[in-house]
Amino acid sequence: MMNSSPDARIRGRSAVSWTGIAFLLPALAFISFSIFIPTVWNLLLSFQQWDGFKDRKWIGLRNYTESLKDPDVLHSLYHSIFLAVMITLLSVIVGLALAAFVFRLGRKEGSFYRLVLFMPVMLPVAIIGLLFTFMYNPEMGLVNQFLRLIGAGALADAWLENPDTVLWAIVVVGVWRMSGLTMMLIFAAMQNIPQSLFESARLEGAGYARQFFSIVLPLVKPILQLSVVFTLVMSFKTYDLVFVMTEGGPANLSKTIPLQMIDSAFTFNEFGYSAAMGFLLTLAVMLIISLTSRLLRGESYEY
Amino acid sequence: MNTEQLADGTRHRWGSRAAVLIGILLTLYPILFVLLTSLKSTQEFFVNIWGLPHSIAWDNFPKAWIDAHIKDYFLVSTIVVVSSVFFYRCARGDGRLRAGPAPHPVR
Repeated sequence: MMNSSPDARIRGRSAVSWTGIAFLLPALAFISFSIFIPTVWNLLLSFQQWDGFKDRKWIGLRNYTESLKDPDVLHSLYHSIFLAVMITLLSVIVGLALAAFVFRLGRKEGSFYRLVLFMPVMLPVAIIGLLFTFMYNPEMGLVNQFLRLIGAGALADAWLENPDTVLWAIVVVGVWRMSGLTMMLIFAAMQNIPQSLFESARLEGAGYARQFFSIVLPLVKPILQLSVVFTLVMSFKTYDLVFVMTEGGPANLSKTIPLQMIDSAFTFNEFGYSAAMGFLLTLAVMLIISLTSRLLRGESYEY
Repeated sequence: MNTEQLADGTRHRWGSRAAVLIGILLTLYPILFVLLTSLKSTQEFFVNIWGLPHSIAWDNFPKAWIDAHIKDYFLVSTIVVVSSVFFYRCARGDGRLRAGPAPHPVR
């Protein structure tokens, strides 16, 4: 780092930078107000029984043991994990494929495609959810109309009302939303690969597919890992999408943990129970993320 | 980067182009649908949901902006974004700023 003259560096090392601390204070205040305090509060609440108004009781781990026995909670935990894992898996694969194809098409043509493919990331989730409820509509929805048009009307389905298809329908929407981001991240990593590697690969007679699997894929692995973790975190919190599209229905078949938490806190007034569920989800997220980053650990090369 | 060199000898990259164009179609159509729907009146939306609008209803936009209070919500969003970016910038400045005159402007 050559960001300071020797003079400033010496003084900065030894003295406490009060100016710097002053600059950090507002951010610290906001972060502790919006993240640290609620997290600790949530942890405390998860050991209590509280109806939201009157006295609170400390009941130890009962919230946790009860929620681990509650089939509703376990189902919504399963739905959360299913949605997050499937959305992440598919959107990383789709994003990787798109990045590979766009990379092949060259800079000028590719920049337009990248802009368009990135657009869904910029749309608000509420609008995406509303849009896709129209698309999935049994009578006038685009999906069913298209199926009838190509003569596969028998396949038409009430996608969001059918228990077998509802989760997959939401996965499709999530992938539609997230794959642009993965594509952008991976494409940026691809651009840093030195040209000479491709040249030598071509001299050896390697086609694009071979170049992709032998050169590009190993070199973008760290970014691949980053985007997997990023997508996982984003889609684990899937609340708005499900809420707009199905509100957890039919019955409870697409309910995720955040929706279940809202229900138990604000409909049944069991705030402590809801806080315990939140902590269980956080634990599940941490477990899955550390697992995936262990699995995908890539070596970074220098070039 | 000379991207022309990426092509392995052959110049036609129609396979990749077709794949990307399918992706573009799947991405762009829903967005286009939002745009077209925003130009239809409520009656037309129910009669003609997937077609082009017959008569363009521009007044949806001022109606949304004023009657549906989008302008107030927009203000709220702007305040949230501007203040969080500002505080983030303040915090990030410390990573680069040392005591004494800044050797170069903090980006």
